[in-house]
Amino acid sequence: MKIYYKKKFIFGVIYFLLGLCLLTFGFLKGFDVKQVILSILMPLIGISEMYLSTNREAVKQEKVEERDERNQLIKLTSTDKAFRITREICFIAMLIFLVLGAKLEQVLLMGIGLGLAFSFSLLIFSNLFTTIYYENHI
Amino acid sequence: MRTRVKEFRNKANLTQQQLADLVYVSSRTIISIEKEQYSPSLMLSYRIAEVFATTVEDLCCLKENKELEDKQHEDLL
Repeated sequence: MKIYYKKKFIFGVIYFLLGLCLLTFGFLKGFDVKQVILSILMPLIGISEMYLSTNREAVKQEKVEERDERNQLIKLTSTDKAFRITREICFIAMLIFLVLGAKLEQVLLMGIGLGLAFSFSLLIFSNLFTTIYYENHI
Repeated sequence: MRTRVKEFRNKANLTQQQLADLVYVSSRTIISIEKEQYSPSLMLSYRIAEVFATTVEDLCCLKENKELEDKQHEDLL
């Protein structure tokens, strides 16, 4: 048996072992619904991942999908869009909390607003630094 | 961007999956190129052109697309 995709195989082994641990833990301490579902699903996912990592055609197909230029563009575009949406939501929530905090004189709301302001400035600076980096490297 | 991928593929009697396998991309990429939703990279265009024994210029209708782009640029001003 040859492993064509080590990362996938390791992922499968980890999932399988975690599933077994959960199963053993369940037998010792008792099961609840969530645990039953997880202890069935996790070993199954682990086994299928291990099997797929040894299947040459499946690995080839997965690697083609990973390297596919359209998929990479989709990944970049969706990450960028998600970043923009997060930044905008962060800005709006910051404004709302700061204004409400000031109006109602609530320190907690002001604190949340300041926390969001910190996150927002972090997003702005990370965007600025990555832009400078790629301006010089592309 | 308009391309002649579908036309060439039909002439060569290839399925989208077969063409995708020949140029190492997913069949979704070929579908998107044929629907003019995605513009292939230079290397992918070259690989597809090689499969159909044609040129990138011919496959990607570069003259037509350039004229279209020029017109759009003129309309900007």
